[in-house]
Amino acid sequence: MISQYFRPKTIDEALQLLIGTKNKTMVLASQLLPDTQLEETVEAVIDLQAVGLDKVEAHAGGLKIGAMTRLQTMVDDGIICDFTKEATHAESSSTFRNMQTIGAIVMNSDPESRLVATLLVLEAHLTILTVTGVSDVSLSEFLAEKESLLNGGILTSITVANDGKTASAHVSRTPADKPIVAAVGRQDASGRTLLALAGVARTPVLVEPREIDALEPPGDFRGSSAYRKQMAQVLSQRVLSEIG
Amino acid sequence: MQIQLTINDKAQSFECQPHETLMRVLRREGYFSVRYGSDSGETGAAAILLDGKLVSADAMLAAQADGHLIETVEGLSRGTNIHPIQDAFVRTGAIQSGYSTPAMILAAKALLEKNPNPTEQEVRDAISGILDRETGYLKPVLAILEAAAVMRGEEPSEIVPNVLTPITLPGGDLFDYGDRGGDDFRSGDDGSMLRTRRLPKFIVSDEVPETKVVGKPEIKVDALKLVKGNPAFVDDVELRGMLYAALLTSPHAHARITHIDDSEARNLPGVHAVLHYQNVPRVRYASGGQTWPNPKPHDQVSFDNKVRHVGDRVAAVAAETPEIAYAAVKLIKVTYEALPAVFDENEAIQEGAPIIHDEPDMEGAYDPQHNISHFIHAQVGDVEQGFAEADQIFEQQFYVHQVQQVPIEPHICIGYWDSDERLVLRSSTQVPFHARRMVAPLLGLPIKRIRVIKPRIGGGFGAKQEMLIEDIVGHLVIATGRPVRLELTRQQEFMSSRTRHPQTITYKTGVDTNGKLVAQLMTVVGNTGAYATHGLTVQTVTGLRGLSSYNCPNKKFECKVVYTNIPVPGAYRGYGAPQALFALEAHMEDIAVALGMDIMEFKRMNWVQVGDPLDIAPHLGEGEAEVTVIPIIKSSGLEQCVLQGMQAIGWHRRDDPSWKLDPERPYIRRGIGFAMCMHGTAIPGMDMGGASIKINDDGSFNVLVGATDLGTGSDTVLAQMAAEVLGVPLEDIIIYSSDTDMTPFDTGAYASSTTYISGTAVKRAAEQVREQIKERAGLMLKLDDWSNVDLRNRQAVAPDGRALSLGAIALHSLHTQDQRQIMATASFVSPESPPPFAGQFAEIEVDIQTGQVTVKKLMMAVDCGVAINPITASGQVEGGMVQALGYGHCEEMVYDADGRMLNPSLGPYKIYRADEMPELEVVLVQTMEPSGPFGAKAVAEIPKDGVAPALRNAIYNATGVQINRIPFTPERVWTALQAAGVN
Repeated sequence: MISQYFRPKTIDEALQLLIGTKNKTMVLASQLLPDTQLEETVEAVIDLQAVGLDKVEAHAGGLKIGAMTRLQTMVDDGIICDFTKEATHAESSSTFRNMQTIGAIVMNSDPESRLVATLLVLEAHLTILTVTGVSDVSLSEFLAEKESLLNGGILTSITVANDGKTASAHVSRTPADKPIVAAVGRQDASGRTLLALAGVARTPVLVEPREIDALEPPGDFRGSSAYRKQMAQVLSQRVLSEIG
Repeated sequence: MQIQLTINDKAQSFECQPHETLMRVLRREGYFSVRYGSDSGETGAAAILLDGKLVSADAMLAAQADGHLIETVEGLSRGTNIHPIQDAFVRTGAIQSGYSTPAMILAAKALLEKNPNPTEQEVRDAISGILDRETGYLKPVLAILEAAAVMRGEEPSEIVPNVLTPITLPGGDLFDYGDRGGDDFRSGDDGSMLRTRRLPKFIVSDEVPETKVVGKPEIKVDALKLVKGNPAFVDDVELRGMLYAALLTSPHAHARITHIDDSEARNLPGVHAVLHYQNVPRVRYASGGQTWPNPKPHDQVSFDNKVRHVGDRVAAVAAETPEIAYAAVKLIKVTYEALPAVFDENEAIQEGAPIIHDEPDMEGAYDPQHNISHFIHAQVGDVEQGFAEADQIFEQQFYVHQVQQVPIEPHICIGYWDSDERLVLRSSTQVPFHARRMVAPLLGLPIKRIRVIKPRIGGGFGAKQEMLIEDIVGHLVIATGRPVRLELTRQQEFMSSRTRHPQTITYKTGVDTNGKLVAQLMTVVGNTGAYATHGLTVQTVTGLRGLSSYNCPNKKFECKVVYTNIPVPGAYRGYGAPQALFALEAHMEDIAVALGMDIMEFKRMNWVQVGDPLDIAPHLGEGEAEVTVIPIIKSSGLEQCVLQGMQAIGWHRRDDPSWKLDPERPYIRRGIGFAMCMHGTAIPGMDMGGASIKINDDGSFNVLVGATDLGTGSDTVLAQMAAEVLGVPLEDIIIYSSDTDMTPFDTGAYASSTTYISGTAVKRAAEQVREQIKERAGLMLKLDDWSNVDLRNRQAVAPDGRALSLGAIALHSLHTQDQRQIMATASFVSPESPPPFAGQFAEIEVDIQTGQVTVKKLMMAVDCGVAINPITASGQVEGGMVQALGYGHCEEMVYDADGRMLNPSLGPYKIYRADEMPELEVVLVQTMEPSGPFGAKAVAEIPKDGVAPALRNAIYNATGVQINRIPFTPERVWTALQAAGVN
């Protein structure tokens, strides 16, 4: 049960708290609490709401999004492209978009998150602050080795591309339901095509079209492994055909 | 820790624990409009504005809100001076139970402050975080668009019924229909059409007499308190010294409990009681909230030494805080002997299947050795002879699955001893009188020492037609002497509450050369889970509905009601009819296609019409009541319902290849489906309602009814009936319902009975009061004959034109001469159950490469007799259709191999949100039912009956593939399409 609550004013202060707290500590990167089970195992929380990581700004031809930027802020932002906005909007309902942050979405990396798949094709890079310094890792690498790359640090921002020809397709039980499988594609200015899939692995993944046959998706009651694999093919074809 | 919150412009400091949610702190401080729906925020019932943004207060820590601005709905109004958004919710009929209404109002406020002129889709997006099981979201969206217009300075819309012209038949041929154009096929995305669409649409019958209050779109009598978020629900009370209860439930689907060690739990500081089978008397009962005597088998006890499903009760704790109670539950050491389990109803009746009820004191089951709780048999004519004479015979099997009612307010009960040392149970129940009678023997108390109060309820849909947790609360109050509160968690609501019965249904039908039915056999294996509760009666209704809609001289129903180890099915709005009609309407569709006949023509030549007997009804009476008279249909608007539906849905398009294919999306197929629906109105000979009415000094009236308003608006329609008879406006009726100490008996809210049964009781009581008023007027005016005195406009008007106000009559009667209280009590039991009818239509798209079905429009035209209140009636249809959409499309309880539910939370268990809804359209087709009060029939349940088969038939129309199992989730549809070679 949570017995201590901290609200640091700077990211350095947050880092020091994270290092110094001996209890089982969770960083609250969102107003939305993780599930109850997690809450019961946590003894202290460090709430990052006051550290100022909630800006969206142009950066090196793309965007830099503070990790504490709420999803609704991204939807309402003037410089984020429509494609990213749409994926952000589709991630959650109205209440949750006001509570969830992009950092929490990345850290959670739900296997069926269309938004995380979108960030993958936008070639997202993460800035992680640790006591030893700042590291920059690609989202794709991070999803593969989250714990080791986080290394006890705090995700501070995400840089993404903000251009290209894009398309997405998904299958779900109802229009706003979480996708069973989603395919997201982007062709950058150089003509290079990136394809990401959600719902086919333990996190969304970047794939080459020829690799889809080799996927072995985990199945559940919404879609068996075989079904998900077939949908990966169908939806990828639609996306690739749309972006040419 | 100390936190600073500015709530509704008032800066305040609060003490809280770091783990406490914001919802809990706000409720503790008296902001009761912030309501529990789950622990993780998906329901949105606890939504508030934090710095002007809508957030779920149940999914964030109070500490996170420290220093922020909070708005709750309590801050929007002062007295009767309410915010324009609240006013719009009241005027448009957007409130049913009102449980989540405050959250929706706050969502609207946040939206309109940012965007004064939103589109319909923007409104839907704004409330997408608030789940609603009642309204179908249509009227809340309308209310927000209306509020936006008013706040922009426009005049409020006049919310009046939209009277349509009945469709007459060109050339006398019902099915020479063609393209009649009609009104909107699809509302625009900009929302303009919705706001200008006056609600509801209806067809007026010439047979219905003119009325003043009945039949009018009156504002709900409880709307103001609900829109303001006043403390009206079970949990909205504070009792000194109240303890919090928690349940320990079974992790096993089937196991014997060999020992319970509760010593550690008892020794935990703050724990006051730990109850289980070792310390609670073993009294057998059946939990279904039904009329005395409760149908057997009586196969439950409060706590047993055997568990029969995951989520079954094991023990209960009462402690000083919820945290201590939960901690104590974890300290109870239970030794289980796991037993083999069976989940499928067809496997459970096989030789060698695990025997679920092997207890020696089991009473009244048909064949417990084979897990059969009941065997139901009914026959009319000679089915075998009918098949022998049939020109063609068709046989199909269907499977319907398990879903949960998902009331946003879970089961909750607060119990306490009152000053007379009587046990008061303040409970979220549909059946307060049944609950009192049923809980008494379990607690060892006489009925007279128990009072059950039903305040406002946040939805029930049948789940609360049980005596489900009242016994646990009663036991804990007795054990501790303290007030005790027990609320199910969302997970427990799924696993430890009640659900809909899965069934395997087989139809065999013989037709003659003209397409007339000559024999029909319906065989059902119904899965009643671990306990029988409503098992007999739900399956009986399945047979009744499955063999009543179409005329057939030879009919037979055979049904086994089967125990398994799934969480317990019980009552769920529709009560066996949605299962039956899915199979029936699919089967009839397929027969028509196989015969090469027009679907409508085939169904129409067979469906029941005015004057037809419902001949199997006497053989399928609910419970132990015998109905000896064959009911005859006296009113039916079915044909007009079907015509209205055909026009509204654009029925002609289903055969148009250019519409069914989409050149831009070659993998899409479009289809339109239809289902004919017929339901019942109350249980004949059994459902009983009582009403008592008295006049007050000012000429207003107290109406006391046992009927239970779940949010349906029954308090309003009952008050409308009283007002109509007594010649007063609705505001002069003060209605109080559902309190076993204060109101007359009523069987409760189920079986679509309240308007018809309780309404007739109210009407009769009002008529008696009217006679007393007329007599008093005669005395005051010195009339020799007062029979022609008329009550209107709050006056008693004599034939000579002299008039007395009802206030003057009341004062005279109470204070002046021959004093007496003008009052009367009446009750009603009906020998009949006049059926409402409906045509349900669905337009869908199927992605043949993924199997995803997207529902574009649902249209239902309903004959509910005279709708006493067209707005509440249409709201019932809209909300019911959306629940039915979930049943057919996306809701399902899924289990692992050990019977553990894989999706006991909202999200994985998918219910529709506001921003993904298909278009909804409702038309009320008025008929005059001679047996009903003011011509009324039922409306509450029929919307649940037709959506699943209409979707199924639409998929068939779109793809040519018949899918006989619901729900139509992507992989199920894709698999069927693949098997049929459609891709």
